[in-house]
Amino acid sequence: MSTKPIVRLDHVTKIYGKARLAITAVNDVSLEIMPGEAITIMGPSGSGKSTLLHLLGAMDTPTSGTVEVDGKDISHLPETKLAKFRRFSIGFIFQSFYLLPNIDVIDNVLAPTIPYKLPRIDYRVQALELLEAVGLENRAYSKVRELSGGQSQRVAIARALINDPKVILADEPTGNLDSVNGKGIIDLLLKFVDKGKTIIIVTHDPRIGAAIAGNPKGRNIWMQDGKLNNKPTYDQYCWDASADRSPMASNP
Amino acid sequence: MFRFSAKNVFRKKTVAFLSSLGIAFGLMLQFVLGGFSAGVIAQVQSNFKSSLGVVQVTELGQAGASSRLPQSVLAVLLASNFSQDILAYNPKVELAPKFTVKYSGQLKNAADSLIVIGVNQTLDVVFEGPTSKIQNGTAFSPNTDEIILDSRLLEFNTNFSKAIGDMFKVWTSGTSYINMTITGIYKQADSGAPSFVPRAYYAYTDIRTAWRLIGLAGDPNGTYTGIDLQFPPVSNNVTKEYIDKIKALSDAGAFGTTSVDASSPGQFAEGISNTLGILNTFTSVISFITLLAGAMAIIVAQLNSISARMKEFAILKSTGWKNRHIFKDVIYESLILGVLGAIIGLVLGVCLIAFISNAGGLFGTGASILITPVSVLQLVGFALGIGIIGGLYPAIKAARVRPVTLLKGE
Repeated sequence: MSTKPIVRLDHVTKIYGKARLAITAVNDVSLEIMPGEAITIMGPSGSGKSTLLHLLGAMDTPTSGTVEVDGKDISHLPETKLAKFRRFSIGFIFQSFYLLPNIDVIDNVLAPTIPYKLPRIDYRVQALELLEAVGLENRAYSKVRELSGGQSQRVAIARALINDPKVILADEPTGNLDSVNGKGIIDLLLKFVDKGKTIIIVTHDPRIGAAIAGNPKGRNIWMQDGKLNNKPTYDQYCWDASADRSPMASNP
Repeated sequence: MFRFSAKNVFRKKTVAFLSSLGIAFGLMLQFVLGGFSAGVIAQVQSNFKSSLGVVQVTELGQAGASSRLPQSVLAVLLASNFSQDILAYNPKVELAPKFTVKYSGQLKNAADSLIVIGVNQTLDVVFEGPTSKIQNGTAFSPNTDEIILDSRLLEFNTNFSKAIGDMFKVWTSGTSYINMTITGIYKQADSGAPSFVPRAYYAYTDIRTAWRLIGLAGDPNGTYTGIDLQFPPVSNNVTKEYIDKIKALSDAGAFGTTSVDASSPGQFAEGISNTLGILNTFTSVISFITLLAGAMAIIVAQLNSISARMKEFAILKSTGWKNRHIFKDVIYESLILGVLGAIIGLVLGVCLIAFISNAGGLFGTGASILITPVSVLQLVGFALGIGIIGGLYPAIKAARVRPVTLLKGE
């Protein structure tokens, strides 16, 4: 494993709004994540974990501080360079999957490559391999509406991996899934950790935190009021667990 | 990319189809009107092409039957320094308004008129005038009460009841008339103007008959109301030079006390073409309105479509799509809507033109509606223009989506 962090946040602050209406979503956060690590960013709603993920995914820019991913400072890149960065360095997975309903499964996996003049056959083979890796090789030409929630999220994972990014960012990837499917998705993501990918998952589900922490490359990071808190209190942990609405939490 | 856009454009099938249909109706209207305008102009130009080089000489300031040209005018013209260029001449005597022809009730429009003209048959044939274009029957005999009729009288006026062999009344006063025998129908080309435009129809008789009717028979000083001169049919500009020469002769007093005016049907054709230019302008205005309406239809359809897909655009951006990729996608979708509208409009337009042609031409003129490769290309060009203009705002709006704004809270 490389000793150089793949993700480095240096005194990153993100403030929304101005003056009296200003809200500090991320407050002076510094963090280093090594290649191949599996990270969960946990915390209650409004703790700033999703904002932090958006900063890491170049979807938003920090108010101050620097965000480095894969050796690049992405804090203030122009839009075209941000697009290139998102394309090659980051794979995003969302709670609501966001598959395109009018095209079939394999075309959804290939969606990030559509506007680029690429060798289509190579990418098609790669998409089929990814679908095989997520266990959906026999659904490649199915319509998206025919898939279950768990299957849809697997397609979203394959889509996030089509450009072979080094870092995968997942925002509540099990939020819309039942406990069985949720566990399956986390297990799948951990398989990619074993293959060298760095995975950062935002969740307020302590079960995911437990699963990640149980992995030798896993680590949990806690956020509260925009700040990192590496050692949550017992009360904090219990509050999060009780507040969680995921079926995983109610079915230990 | 195009394939992707093609799949997206029909996600809201009804909205997409209706917006294409809206464009189609507009383009159909433009296509048919444009074709009609081109057809009428082509017909007018074709009709007057045969009269290239013709100069009509009349008394200055007097139109039609009011004109009085002494025979000396023709003699001066035939002795002029450009007389060798006069290929044929044809003096005429127009009877109206002193003698009226009361057939207005049988004519299509109240403003239509029927005029009797006397010509020298020998000269008229050389001139390829009406007596050389007998369609049915025969030409009139010299100095007899015989007459030939304009073919359009029978073609356009279903109420006109006269035929060859019938008597034709030329009224010499409110109560008395002269009966003339119809001996033939000559072919007269129509201007191609819409049927609501007033038309003058012509009946021809011998010039001596005409003189006799107006009491000038045997008078060596019998006048003409007009003289047609045929010059080399080169161009309207060359014809205009002869007109200027005749006017110069008149200004120099070559015709004595008579002041002479000269004009050419070619100039008249130019005038009609200019008038029909208004029709072209009208078509252009319709086209412009079509463009706007079509663009609006696409804007509404596309705004409707993209507002429901903003999160998808945000996701695509998060996977590496650039602003211009989103922009291109929406523009492609708009172009597809426009081209689909063009195809439907073209099919509807061709059907409408076929229907009109079977019904005898628009406005009953028999004028053909021209469909040319250029008009089809224009239609497609318009459709693409509509697609681009209509897609521009939705495309910009979609391209500017900030992923973080839409994905916050996910």
